[in-house]
Amino acid sequence: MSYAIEAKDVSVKYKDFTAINQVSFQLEPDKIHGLLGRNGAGKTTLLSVLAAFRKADAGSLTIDGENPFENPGIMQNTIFIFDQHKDLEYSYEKIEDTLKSMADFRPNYDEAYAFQLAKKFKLPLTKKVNQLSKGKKSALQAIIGLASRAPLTIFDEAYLGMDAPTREIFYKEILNDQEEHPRTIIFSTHLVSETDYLFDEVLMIHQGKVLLQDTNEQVISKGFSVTGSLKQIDAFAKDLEVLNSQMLGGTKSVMVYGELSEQQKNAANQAGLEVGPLSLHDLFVHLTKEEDE
Amino acid sequence: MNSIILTPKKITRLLFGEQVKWTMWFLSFMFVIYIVVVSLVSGPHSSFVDLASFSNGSSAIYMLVIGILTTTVFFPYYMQQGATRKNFFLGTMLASALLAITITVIIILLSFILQFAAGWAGWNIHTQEVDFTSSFSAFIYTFISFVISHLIYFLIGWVIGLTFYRAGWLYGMLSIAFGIICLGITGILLEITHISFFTQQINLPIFVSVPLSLVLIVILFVINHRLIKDVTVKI
Amino acid sequence: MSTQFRSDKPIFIQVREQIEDQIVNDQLKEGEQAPSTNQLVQFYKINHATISKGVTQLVDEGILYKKRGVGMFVADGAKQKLVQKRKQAFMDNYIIGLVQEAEKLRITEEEIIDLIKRARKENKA
Repeated sequence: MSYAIEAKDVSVKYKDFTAINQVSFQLEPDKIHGLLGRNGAGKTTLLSVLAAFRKADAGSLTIDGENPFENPGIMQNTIFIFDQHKDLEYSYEKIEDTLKSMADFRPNYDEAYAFQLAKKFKLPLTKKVNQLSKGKKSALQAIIGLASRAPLTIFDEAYLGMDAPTREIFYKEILNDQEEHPRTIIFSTHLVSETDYLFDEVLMIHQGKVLLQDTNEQVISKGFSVTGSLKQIDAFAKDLEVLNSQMLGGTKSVMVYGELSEQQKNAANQAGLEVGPLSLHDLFVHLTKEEDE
Repeated sequence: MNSIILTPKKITRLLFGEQVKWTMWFLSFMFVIYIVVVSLVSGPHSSFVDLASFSNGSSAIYMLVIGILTTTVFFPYYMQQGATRKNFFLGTMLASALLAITITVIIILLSFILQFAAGWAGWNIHTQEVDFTSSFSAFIYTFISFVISHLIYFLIGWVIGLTFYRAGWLYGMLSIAFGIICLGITGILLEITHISFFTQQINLPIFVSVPLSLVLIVILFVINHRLIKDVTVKI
Repeated sequence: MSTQFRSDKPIFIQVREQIEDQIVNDQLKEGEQAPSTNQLVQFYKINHATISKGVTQLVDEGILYKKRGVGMFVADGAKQKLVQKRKQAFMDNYIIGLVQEAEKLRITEEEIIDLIKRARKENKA
């Protein structure tokens, strides 16, 4: 089972600050969606609404065609993994007991898989949760998130505190388990460069608004870097959306957002300009740049 | 679509299991203190207060604390596990009623055992206003008022905890003032004397005090429901 | 994005070519199971859709075939097909250019062959 999500004009306000401003999007089931946004872009607020942790102030949200708020069927099938170190400080339960207890809450929970993962993440099963290091606490949360196999699984910067090899294991397990048990995964991050390959789709938000949403491939295909002499580049990029430009002596390099027509590509080739792709990371960094940066 | 597995009943079972663990610690601790106080202060041959009177105050305060912790500890946990606010609310309500009964039963059992031991050892236990052991009617009345007052204390704690969680410290302070008033009313209605508006104990007849306390329970129930039904889960 | 890919060609084509290379130099033999899309995603750190595009092309050309529920396998005759295709590409990409350049420089056929022989010797050493 896997959930489709539809948001229409969803807004969330904190007193006089609008955290989410009339956001609309659709998320397809069975896909891994990268939710990209800078600190304070509204990622966690948006995810809180999806997980029915808070009510939206305006707009409508449906998960699997229903309003998730106080909906027991949707809520038990939605798992929201976020940085929970504060809460886990007070958990005096043994890891193995925590892993067993999840079967009480999640209909699709696979305990055997959870214990397999615990081995991979090298969690000491008989240790108490509050004694775990920050990275291991995150690993425990990630295990619960994966093994619950919830039709809507949300990882909100769930890798915090994990070291690089552990993050690799985490990403690998997401891909492997997703292949066997497809569900809707939302993976929120601002560390785009090491996670970009996980995403089937990308939802980029900035200052409480949707900046873009498309398949990962489509998003990347809209970014180009063009390098050449200062004069040529200025002429070439005149009518293009330039995200960033750099200069080294007489050479100029620009990052361009938007599709290049065949004509433009040919023109670039003939002028001897070097055209290359941009990574999702580059696009993210420059699309979400503020005026004064 | 699978069926709902996190029902109010299950939440009650899980919550109650956890609360009983805590309560066993608390009651053992209290019992040890009681024995220490009795043997140090009173000595075996002077008269001393019975266990029920001794524990009445502290176990009610314990319920108040559990009520406050319900919001800070259990609520976020169960939301994280995919419960709805409503199911958590109902589960907690039931678990707290069970807890109030459990604490009362355990204290009664301990009181009887002590009474018996004291009689056998020739000690003189002085029975105060909380009286389980002198007569059957006293037993019934004390049992009921014990359970009700413990439940009320829990609900007051819950209101205070929820208000702080939902609306911040200013409203939280107001909820404490409200809580103190409720404690005072409970003190008038039942034999709980943490907060007393009058220096003299007013002895209301049972057919007045019990229904009025039930009304207070319903009021607190409704307030808690209003506070929790669409509260934002903090992360 | 992985640095093992060049920027002048779409990545899915480069992925395809890397699988082809493995078949041509016998790292992947005919009838053997080819790496799954998921394994390729993890190896190259390239998203699913891009990898799939490359793999789908290989399936369409009969180089790989899918067994339901088992995975992807190298088809019989895949190597032969690829070598054939590569030889044609070799002609188009290298030989024609070489001949054109040789003609500009007025290098005779014998000289070209001599040069090739020398290069092959050096390559072996």
